[in-house]
Amino acid sequence: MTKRLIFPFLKIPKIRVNTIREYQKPLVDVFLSYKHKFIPFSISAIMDSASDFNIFDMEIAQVLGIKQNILKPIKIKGVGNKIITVYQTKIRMAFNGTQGHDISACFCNNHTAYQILGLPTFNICQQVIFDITNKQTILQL
Amino acid sequence: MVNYRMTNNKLRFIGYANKWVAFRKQDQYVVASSTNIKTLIAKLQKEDTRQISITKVPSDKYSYSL
Repeated sequence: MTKRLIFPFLKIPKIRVNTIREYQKPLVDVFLSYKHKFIPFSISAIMDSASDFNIFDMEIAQVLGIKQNILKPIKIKGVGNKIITVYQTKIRMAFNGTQGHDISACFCNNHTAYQILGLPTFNICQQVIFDITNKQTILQL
Repeated sequence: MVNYRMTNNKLRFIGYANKWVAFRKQDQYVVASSTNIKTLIAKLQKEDTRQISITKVPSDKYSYSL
């Protein structure tokens, strides 16, 4: 049975010298767990089809009790041809009211961007719609 | 670290650059923030887990995505 989830775009203010503009970002809420540990609140992460990986801050791995020695270091290249090392493992991820999926996740030290849901997340969805008119992200699982 | 705060009522989300923030999903209003996610979760003990979501707000000056 398919499930349709709707996430309103998150409004993010951005300051430019003396002006404030509002940006609408396609962030969706996911619940993360690893073995018997879980984060009790959903984590908002941006849907980014240009990213080959799900990328989370290393602090999330620490909260989930993931030990450093089971994380596999891999090097990835992003904007500006900059290579960074991230640490990969499998975690369980669920959208609200849906069954969880074991999914590849990379953890990055000093991550200064939004948590990123890349292609592994797109691949568990039947459909992803960025509804710009109504400012919402629609996931069909 | 660049901090910024909204005064315009239309913009409910108050972001703190490179900080973890917890916001109410209904009106996107920030209820707590911290530089550390563990501390943030500790601050949220009395909150309804269904109503709150957590994100990390990047520096507005240098925000990017991969």
